[in-house]
Amino acid sequence: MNALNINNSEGSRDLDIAWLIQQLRRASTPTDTVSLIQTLSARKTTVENTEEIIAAFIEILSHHHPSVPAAAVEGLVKLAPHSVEPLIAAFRASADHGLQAYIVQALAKIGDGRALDLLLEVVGVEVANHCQGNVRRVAARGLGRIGSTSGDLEMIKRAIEKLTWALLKTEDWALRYAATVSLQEIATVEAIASLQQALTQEQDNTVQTRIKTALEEVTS
Amino acid sequence: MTATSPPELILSKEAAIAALKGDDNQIRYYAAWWLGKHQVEEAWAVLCEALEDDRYRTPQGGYPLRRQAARALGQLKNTQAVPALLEALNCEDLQLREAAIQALAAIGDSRAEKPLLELLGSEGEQPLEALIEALGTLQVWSAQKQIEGFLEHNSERVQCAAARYLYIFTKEPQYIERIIKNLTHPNMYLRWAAAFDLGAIGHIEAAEAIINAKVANSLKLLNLKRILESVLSSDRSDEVEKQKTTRLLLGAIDDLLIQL
Repeated sequence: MNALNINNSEGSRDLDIAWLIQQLRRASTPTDTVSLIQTLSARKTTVENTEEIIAAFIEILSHHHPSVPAAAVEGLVKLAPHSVEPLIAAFRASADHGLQAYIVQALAKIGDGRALDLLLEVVGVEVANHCQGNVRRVAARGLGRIGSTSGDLEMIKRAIEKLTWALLKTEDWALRYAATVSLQEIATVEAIASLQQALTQEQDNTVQTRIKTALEEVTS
Repeated sequence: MTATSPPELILSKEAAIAALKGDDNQIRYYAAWWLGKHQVEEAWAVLCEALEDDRYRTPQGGYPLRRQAARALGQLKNTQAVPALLEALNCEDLQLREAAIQALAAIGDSRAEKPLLELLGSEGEQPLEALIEALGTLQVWSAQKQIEGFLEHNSERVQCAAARYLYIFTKEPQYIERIIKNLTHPNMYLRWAAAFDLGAIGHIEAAEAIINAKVANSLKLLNLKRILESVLSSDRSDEVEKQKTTRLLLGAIDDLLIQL
């Protein structure tokens, strides 16, 4: 194994990363894989190497053991904003719903405005959507993050519109609940107006209670 | 309607009621489900008739339509169905008895108490898990001594049902601990069932156990919701405590939203 030479050679950092990525791809147990992901995400490195790490992490989102994609998502969140574009591209290139779900989760946690269109799309346009309920809920939380951190008024407006629709028109209580939390996070006049409107029509006791709490917090 | 029509053709209460009386057993079964799902109140009488259906039987002797009618009646929650459901408890079909017990618990009519107690004390196989659960829901605490015996039953599900009943009644931590133990059970079904048992208990200790359990996130969300709703509807005198618990549960749900 050439790892022994790498540690002593000049410019070892880059080779070191390449070696770690290779180990990541070859790792045989979930525990090894997770610890390699953590080691790699803690490294300060060049742009080029970062791209390689991101590609390896995205690849490993399809790993069968749930602890591995969970660690890779955390790693990709740490590597933001560099990871945003590759994640979006990987989402578009794949038809694997499991992989796409983890990509949505990473993008929702990052909350970068470039993911707005994708997250809007995942939250959906109708009740029976191709995406599973949990993925839509996660995407709705991502819209809250973008809407509360972006300085772009048009983006904020689009996030609020979709969240308002999700809160008023969808059947899944957890999606409406997530939309409530996101609108509370955004807390603009429009977001508050949507919460007030939903308060009068919400039938579910849990969501109704959460809307009340949200309104108490944004108006206090 | 012919046998080849897709069941989606049921689009109205009238169509569903007519289909329930029709010839095609699959469609009758679907109609019973439809009437329950859409909570068609006026269907209670035809569903009670379906509890005595003899036309749809499996080779093993089960009555699928009766079972589905019992479930639908549990969704309608109409107390007028109680006598017919009590009658169904005498049927030899174990799954029908189970569905009828669950329906009686959902309706919550005290007329069910005595027959359910008798069933618990009777010889022969009974759907014990459903029975113990129903006695807890109906708050029939006179069964305590008998149910303590089920903590040693050879089925883990029956043990947990007994522990849940005894916890709701006594509030003694030993019983909730018995259920929490199953949250880490190697059998996924038992972990899943334990989360549901805890969700039904509606206490903050149960919520903490669910948050830390190795069960699917959607199951955690659903059961925290159930606990929250039982807290919200409880008539606890301590309003401050109730609010504190509500906040804590909402916070826990908030944190789970971004998990898949």
